[in-house]
Amino acid sequence: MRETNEQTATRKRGPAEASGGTVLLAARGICKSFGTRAHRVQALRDVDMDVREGECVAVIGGSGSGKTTLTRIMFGLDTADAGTVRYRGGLLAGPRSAVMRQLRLESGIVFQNPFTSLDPRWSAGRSIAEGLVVHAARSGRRHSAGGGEAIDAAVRGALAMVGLDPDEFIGRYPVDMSGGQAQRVAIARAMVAQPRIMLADEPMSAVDVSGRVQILDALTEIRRRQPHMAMVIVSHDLGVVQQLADRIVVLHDGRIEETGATGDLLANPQSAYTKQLIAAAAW
Amino acid sequence: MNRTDMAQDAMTQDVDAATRPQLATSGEILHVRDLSVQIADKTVLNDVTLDIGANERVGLIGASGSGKSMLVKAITGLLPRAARVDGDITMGGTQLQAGDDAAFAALRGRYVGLVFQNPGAALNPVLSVEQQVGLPLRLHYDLDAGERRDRVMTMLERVGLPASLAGSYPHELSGGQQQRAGIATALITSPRLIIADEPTTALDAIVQRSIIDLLVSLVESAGASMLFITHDFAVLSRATTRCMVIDRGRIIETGDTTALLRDPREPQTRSLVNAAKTLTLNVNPEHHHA
Amino acid sequence: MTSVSDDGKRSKRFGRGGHTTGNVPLRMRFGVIIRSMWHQSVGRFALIVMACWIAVSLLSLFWTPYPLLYTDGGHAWAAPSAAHPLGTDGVGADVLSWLMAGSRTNLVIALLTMLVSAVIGLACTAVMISGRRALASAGVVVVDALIAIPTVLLALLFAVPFGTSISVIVAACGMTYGLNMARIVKPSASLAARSAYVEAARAMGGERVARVFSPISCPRLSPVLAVQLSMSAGTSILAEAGLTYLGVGVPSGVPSWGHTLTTSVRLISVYPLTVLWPGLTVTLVVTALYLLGDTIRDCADPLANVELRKLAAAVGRQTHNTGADA
Repeated sequence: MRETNEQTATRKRGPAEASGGTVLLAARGICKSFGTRAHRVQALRDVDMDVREGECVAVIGGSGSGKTTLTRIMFGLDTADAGTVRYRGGLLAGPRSAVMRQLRLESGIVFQNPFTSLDPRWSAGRSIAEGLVVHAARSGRRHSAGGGEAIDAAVRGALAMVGLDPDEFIGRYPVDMSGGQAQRVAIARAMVAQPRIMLADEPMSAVDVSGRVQILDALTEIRRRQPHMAMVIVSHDLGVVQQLADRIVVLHDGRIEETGATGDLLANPQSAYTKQLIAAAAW
Repeated sequence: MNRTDMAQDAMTQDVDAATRPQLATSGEILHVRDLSVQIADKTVLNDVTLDIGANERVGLIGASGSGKSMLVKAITGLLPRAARVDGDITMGGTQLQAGDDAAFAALRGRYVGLVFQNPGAALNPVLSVEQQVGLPLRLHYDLDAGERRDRVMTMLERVGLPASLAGSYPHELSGGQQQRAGIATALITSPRLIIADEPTTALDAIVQRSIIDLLVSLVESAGASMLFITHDFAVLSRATTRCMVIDRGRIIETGDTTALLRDPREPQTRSLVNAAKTLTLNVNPEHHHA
Repeated sequence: MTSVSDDGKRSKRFGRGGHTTGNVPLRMRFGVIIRSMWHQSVGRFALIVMACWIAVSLLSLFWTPYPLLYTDGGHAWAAPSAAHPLGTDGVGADVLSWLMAGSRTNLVIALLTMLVSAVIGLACTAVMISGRRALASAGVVVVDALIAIPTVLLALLFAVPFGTSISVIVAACGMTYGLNMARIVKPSASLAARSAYVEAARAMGGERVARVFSPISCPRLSPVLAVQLSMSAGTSILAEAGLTYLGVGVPSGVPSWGHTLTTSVRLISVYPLTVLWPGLTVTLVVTALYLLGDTIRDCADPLANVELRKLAAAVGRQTHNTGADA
């Protein structure tokens, strides 16, 4: 909309955005503010973003940059003050709209901390099956074979995909897992119903270094096995982003600082803020 | 003390040999010998021996659950009561007995300053920054209010917090500002040893970097020593000169930080180093693949 | 491909938490819970007292040493003897027979009170954590106001139009304990409602799912509920005794522990032994009920009880192997 595009004009429509794939998720003019009337914090100021079929987009920025808020709005977990989100062309309007239901069915979300996003009193198998049960309840078509065996097979398949031994983990509770294992269970839950689009909101920040590598491997494997699935990853960890993402969106202070193809942007950052981010990541 | 395993004995001696030469040249700040801790029949620390000399910045690295935090708790006397502790801890010339709360409490905040992982949780929500930072002074020294205020204000300036924030409460500060307040609280009494337990995990990369640079420069200018706990090698190489690797309650490797990063001996260390390398941004290859 | 109706049926089955992946059959889970309780001395005490209580209640349906209406006029206030193991009361009725029959009444009261207070408590909690802020605040105000009314006053109010009956005790106890429970469960419920795992569940589906996985059905509440419900049951026994003494409890012909206490307490200074038996029974059972809640909380919660987690892990390994064999 208004003047905000001036400093980002150089990259705002980068090559990765122009090429290939139909747009799955499109946000336009998103504004969002938090706080009381006296202390208003503008989290997002007129942000546009597209996610295309089969691409992995990383949203990076410091804390308070609005990256989590933006992706939560795009996946229907929050509402924007102004602006629109379209999923496969349909307007995301209200929690009960048909498009929202479709998005919920066709998206998988991985949250920051697996120990809070997994029910601590449910075993891994039950948590992952929850994703399928929801689908069985909401649409009869998504998984074809019948009965508990099909669910069981799907859950085991999802566990295997994220590199966990199904026999060992299906009955295990989150308290008996490391951070990397628990987060991979959360990824398996997001993947079990074969979503069209996945959001991973800082999936590694609550996990130690070896866990991070396990999560990175799991996500890489998912990218390999599901090349048509779109993935949005929110992170402040540029090393991870470099290995996973096709395209990077840099958010700073609620605005898109710049966006571009991963290699291009990391090798040749335009904005001062991106340069600072890269300098801080490369110790 | 239970010394049963010969192989593990040999390893401990090996480790001792590696650390002793550095000790000889510097005065001792912290001295831990054969420290073992058991909680509910589970061994969380096993024959840990370490020394920190004057002006030394030592890193302690290990995966989560390896016993890093337990070691900090043992050194500062904050272990749960049910813990069984064997071994010697000497700090500032005082030999400490496990369970001697008064002796540990007298050292905490005065001789040892602690910087915590999550500043949002470690700061008292009902104390203003000024009260919080002044708390160790109040506990250990008999100063009048004016003098205490002067010291707090000087400290705030040194950690880069504007004087206008002295009256604010933790929830009004950003994560980076909270950790600056945490560092000010740890350093206000000019302790000889700073223990930083993953002080930057909760912060984003840019803030992380500035906080570590701040911590290192303050520790250096105060002539203090530091024990820096982290699971992140990238942070480690910036903050420390010597480091120890802990795995399942045992120190498995120690050495010069850059050397250890370049050429890890133990498989556990190697996997940690490789993990850190995998996760590090790789734009200028000469930086990372030495 | 299965038809849509098949899927519908299936989803219903899953909705009830039937045989889903990683779920341990209820029977096995129950076995482990009972075993872990038995291994704690407190739990063992509670289990033994509960088992005795239920057994005696069932037995009293078929047999008591004397019929309830039998009175031995010549032996009023008799000391324990072979004929009357616990002695007789003021009209010469056998104390043991009346206590046995009374345990049945108290069991019914305790069970009904648990049921009523659970329904009221969970309904109030649901209102208090509702997404509509006005409704939630109104709920909190109403619950806080009603919580001030004591059980006895409520029972007296109910007794005016309805007379004395078991239903009056259950209604008064169920309501006051239900409101108390709502107040105590609410913080955990709103924590659960705001928790990331409920959000994760909601992100996977629409409003129906939100209902299936509503905070109420969240396992996070079950530890608090276990303690609160067993306390309600225990307190209902105390309330029954108190209300019966005041004349607004069980009607005079109905056997209950409160009834036996009331009839014997009048001459407590002359025949203290007669008061001992109903008093001891009430004390034992109430203590056991209070302890029962605590042990259930510790043993039925997979977070607290490592045996349950081991069982789940073992079943996870097993189901696959048998599946492969078949």
